[in-house]
Amino acid sequence: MSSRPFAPEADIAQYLVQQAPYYVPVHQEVELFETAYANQLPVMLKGPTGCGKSRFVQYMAHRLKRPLITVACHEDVTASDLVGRYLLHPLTDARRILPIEKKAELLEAGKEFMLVISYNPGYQSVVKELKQSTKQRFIAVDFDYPPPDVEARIIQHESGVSAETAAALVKIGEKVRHLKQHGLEEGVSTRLLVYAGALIQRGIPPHSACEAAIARPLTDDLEIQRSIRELVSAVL
Amino acid sequence: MNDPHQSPSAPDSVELRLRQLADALSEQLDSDDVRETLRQLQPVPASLRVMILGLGLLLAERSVKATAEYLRQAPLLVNRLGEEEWGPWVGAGLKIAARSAVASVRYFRESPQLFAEIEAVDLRRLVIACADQFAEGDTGLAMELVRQAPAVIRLLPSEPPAARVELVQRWAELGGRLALQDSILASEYFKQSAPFLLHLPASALQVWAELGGTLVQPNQLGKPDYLPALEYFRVSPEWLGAVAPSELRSDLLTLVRALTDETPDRRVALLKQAPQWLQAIPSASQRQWLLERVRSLAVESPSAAVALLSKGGELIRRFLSRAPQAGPVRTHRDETGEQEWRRRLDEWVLNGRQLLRRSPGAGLAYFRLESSAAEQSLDHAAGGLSLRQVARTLMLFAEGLSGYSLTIKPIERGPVQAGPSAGAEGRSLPDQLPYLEGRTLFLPPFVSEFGSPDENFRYYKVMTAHQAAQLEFGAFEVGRAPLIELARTLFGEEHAARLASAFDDPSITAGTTDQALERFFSASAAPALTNDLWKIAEGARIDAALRRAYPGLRGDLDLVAGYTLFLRPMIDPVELTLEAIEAGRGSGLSTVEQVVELLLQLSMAGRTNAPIPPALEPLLIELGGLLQRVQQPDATAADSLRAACECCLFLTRRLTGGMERFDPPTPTSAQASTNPLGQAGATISQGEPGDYRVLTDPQYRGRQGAQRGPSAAVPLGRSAAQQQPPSASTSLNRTAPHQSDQPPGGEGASLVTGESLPDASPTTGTPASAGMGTVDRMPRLEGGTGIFAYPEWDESIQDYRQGWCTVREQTMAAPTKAAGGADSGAVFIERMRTTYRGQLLLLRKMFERLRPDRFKKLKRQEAGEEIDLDAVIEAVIDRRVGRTPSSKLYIQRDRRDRDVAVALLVDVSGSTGQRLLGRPSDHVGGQESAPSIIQVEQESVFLLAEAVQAVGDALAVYAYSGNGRDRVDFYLVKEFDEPYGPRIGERISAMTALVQNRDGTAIRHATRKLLRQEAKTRLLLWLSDGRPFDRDYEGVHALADTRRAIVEAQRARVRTFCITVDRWGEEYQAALFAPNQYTVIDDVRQLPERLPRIYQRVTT
Repeated sequence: MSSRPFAPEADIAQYLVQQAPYYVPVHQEVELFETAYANQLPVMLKGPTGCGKSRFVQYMAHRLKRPLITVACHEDVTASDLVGRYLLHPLTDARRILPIEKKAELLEAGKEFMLVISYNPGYQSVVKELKQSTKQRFIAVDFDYPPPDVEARIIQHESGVSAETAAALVKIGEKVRHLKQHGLEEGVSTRLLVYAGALIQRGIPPHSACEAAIARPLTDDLEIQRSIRELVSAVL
Repeated sequence: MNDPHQSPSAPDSVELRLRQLADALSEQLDSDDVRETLRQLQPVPASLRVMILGLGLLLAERSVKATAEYLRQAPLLVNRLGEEEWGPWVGAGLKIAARSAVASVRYFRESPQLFAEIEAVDLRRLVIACADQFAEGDTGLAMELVRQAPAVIRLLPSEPPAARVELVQRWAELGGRLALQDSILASEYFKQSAPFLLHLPASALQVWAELGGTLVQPNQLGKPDYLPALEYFRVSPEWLGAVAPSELRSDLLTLVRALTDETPDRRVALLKQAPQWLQAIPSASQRQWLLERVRSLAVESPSAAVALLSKGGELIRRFLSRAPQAGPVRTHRDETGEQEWRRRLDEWVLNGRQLLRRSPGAGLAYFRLESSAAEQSLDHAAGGLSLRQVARTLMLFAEGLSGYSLTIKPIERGPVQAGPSAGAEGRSLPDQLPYLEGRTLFLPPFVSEFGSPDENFRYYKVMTAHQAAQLEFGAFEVGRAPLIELARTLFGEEHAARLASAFDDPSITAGTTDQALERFFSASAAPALTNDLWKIAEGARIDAALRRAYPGLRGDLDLVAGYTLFLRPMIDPVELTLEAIEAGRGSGLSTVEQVVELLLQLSMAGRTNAPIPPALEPLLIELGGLLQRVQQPDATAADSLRAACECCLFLTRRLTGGMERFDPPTPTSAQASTNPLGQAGATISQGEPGDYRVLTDPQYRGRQGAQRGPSAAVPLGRSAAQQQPPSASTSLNRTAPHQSDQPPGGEGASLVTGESLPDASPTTGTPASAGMGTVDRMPRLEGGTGIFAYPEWDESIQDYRQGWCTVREQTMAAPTKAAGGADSGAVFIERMRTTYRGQLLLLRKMFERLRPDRFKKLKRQEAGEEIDLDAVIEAVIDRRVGRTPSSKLYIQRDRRDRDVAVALLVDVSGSTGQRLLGRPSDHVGGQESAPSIIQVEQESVFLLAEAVQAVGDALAVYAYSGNGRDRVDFYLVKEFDEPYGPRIGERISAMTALVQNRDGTAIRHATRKLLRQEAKTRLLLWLSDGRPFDRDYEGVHALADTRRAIVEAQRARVRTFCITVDRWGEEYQAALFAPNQYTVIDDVRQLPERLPRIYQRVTT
């Protein structure tokens, strides 16, 4: 959300979030975010992949009626990709400026500009830990997988499955998340559970759906896959 | 005398003829003899007399002595021999006489025995006719035939007569065929035929004879060697006689005959051993099966067949130990137990045959039960599943379910239950019950209760789920408040207060609910009964929770509960009145025990394995109602406990006539010994109604109520309880409910490659005494520290031979002062320190530099704590001039710790004893003679050990040698955790050149020890002095195994580096290692200097 787009030639209006995204607040993240926005504080969303960080930002953008510009940082993006082009640090502190040296420009952030970064601790952890100097410029909002009832509601809403199936998927999620650190790098995300629900809703048998949406994407380790399969069939 | 043969028309001519004959005979023989014969023949019709004498005269032309014998026998035979028999009989004698007078004398003396013993004329004529034929070739043989015929004929089936004739004919023909090879052979055949027929049917004669014929083969001089064949004929009847049932004897013969590729000696030896092998197999049908399979295998590969024959007993035993008696699943199939094991073992044989076709060597190892392929195939054939295969899956499954981090270990195997018909004791294998100890889940190492691996996996899964659920749903966990509350309602305020004070007792640490529970139970009049009921209630609660939480497990639970039900004792279904039951009639269980048993069955499967005795039905309905509460979703362990107490009260009231508390009854040990609940035996607890005997735990629920959490008191309490006589256990000891099922200590059998064997395990052979002169060269042992078995890779079969090598690990003992030549430790260290003073100083400095500098700065990093100003300036310049700036702009502190564990493995085989001639030794101060390799090795190890001190790496030094696969000696010179000191120096100096080197095994063992070290870098530094070489361990095989061992180590993330002092080491080292993983030092004198440098290089 910026008052002036990074690329001035783009039409800022197209970045407005038109439809209200489905989001179920879990704690006080909405209030916290709104306060940060009001105070021009940058926000860092921490949490495992697929637990709703991006959805939350969309939801907030819609709620605050701000255009949302997303810069995806996948594993190949290094600090210099960002730093070389955009030196973020001055933008995040009281200066709120973005020097673009190649163009010899100095952009000043408007009042409604808000920088939000999403950050996944653990994931790519050792190699690409966020530097303290970066981390300490943000207000952090912790995200985790939603509580079972909320997660069930989300799955039900997003995929259209019955409450019962959604509950079973949540339970599977809970069991599989137990495996985190013991065999899996990350637990199964809400997103994957939604995908599984979507497959089930479209007629794929539940076991196959979970196989495709949960066991296979999570790991290449055949034994862990089998364990997941057993957990799935225990619950279903 | 009215003689029909006498022709009335020519009596005179007959008489005349007789006289002529007598005269002619008398001319050649003693006339008295002739006269005597004539006198004896007087009653015989004249015509017959003429024939007898005529024949005699004919014979006289050949041999006078034979004729005399003939004449002596003739009068005795007139009544036995038909007229038509005389001609052939004497005719054969004539032929014999033509060749040997002596033989014919014997013929006439002995052959009448035939006529005495054999009634059937056709048989006699046949024998004589055969003898006649043989006489043309070998008179001795003819004699032997006649001599043996009566005994042989007696042993032949007498009906039908025609068949017997045929058999005799056959018998003689076979002898004739052998005679073509050699008459001695045939003669032995005839001699041994009767003993043979004592044990085997006549139909087997042919195989027997033919096999004998094939045992003759040319010896080294090119002449035929009859010895094995002769021995065969002599002793095979006896050997074969040992095989039972007798039908198998001819099968065995047929088999050995089919093994045409084996040498005669081997085949004879086989025939001798095979009966012993076969008799070691308990059941006749198993023996039969084995022989059938061996025979069909022999067509493809005789040697594989022999292997199968010799290992058949072991195969069957191992199979049965894995696939024990039937479960309910098996009864669904339309096959008997017999058909089933046949089918499964056939599958095993079939797999072997397929392997055999691909690789004969691998097939052979398979049938010898040596290869891991054989093992796996056996697992599969047994339908079973080994924990090893699924441990990780189960562990993750349990973690997923419970959310706790768990370890899975196998229960150590108890005595194997062999045999297809284990009785009631065999029904429950108490030592195979799963249990949870702390966060370790113990499961049976192998499961074969069901017919397929898939079902067996489900069984494992249910066991795991139930144990995990105990954690998940807090089984047997009762908090303080509910416990006190329960005590108050059940036992009164006083006990509740006591219990509450127990919780405050400082000797009871927080969290040990078990002790509080014990106090709780001590108030109960029937603690064992209450405890059993509690276990039932908890089991039911956990099962219900499982079924509710995991609908997908319901089917599995049903399957396993059904099976478990099948294993439970059956309650006598006969309709009994309550009084009759109380009078002790019916099943071996007391009424209370019956009720508890039935309740358990109902709680598992919702049904019982036999109809409930109607007298007990109302009781069970009531109890079931009480238990139903625990199956509700919100039930806790405390609810179970309450239900159990209530059940107990109810039961005792109903069965003992309203008594609230029981009088302490006297336990009778006699009843305990007839405990029908299994050999586990049962404790009789005082205060139980009617000597209540504790329930055996159901299979899948496992050993219940085992203490949980890290309480270390568990094993202690358990063993203490076991030492108590049953009658002395006055209070409930929850840790010892099931007596003999003592769990192993914290250490389950290891799942890694090398399995530790019990120290007392017998090893084959006596390698220590195998090599003369090696015994006195063995270093003194400070005491063995362990025996380990390792597999060995066999390149030729492309498979591991399981448990092939035995490592004996022992501490290298310091030499005694008296030991000739070797320095005492102190002297050695002193001498070394003096000799190498300068080098040591240098080395220490060098090694100190290896210590990581924690504050070293790494410049130009992608990320870091500081900005690298130089780099930034360059980047700015770059940017200004339009070049892409580098992104490496930071300085990072090096936080890498040096975390190195190194095992130095030193070859001390015999070849290291070689002295290094050629150059005078200039660096071993004061030594007159040239040093040996081992001395140089010692010095190097010493220097390295001193130097490594400076850097602080974990270093272990091992030496190895050995003699054969049964004895790979592995000496501990320095263990990782041992501090370096004079003692280690002494051990280094004690290293002496020993026997041979089986490198692969030593590398495996060192790797295993290294893997126990928690270090980022693990390095195996191998100091070798030559090719791997040991008994049956050389050439390609030894290199391939060593290479395998190295690859195994590398796969386990152990780095390997080899230093070889063999000048020609390059040839084979290149085959073993990648180029940067070894170095060849051609002048061993450089080793002390180079070893530390190499160390430095490979650890950084």
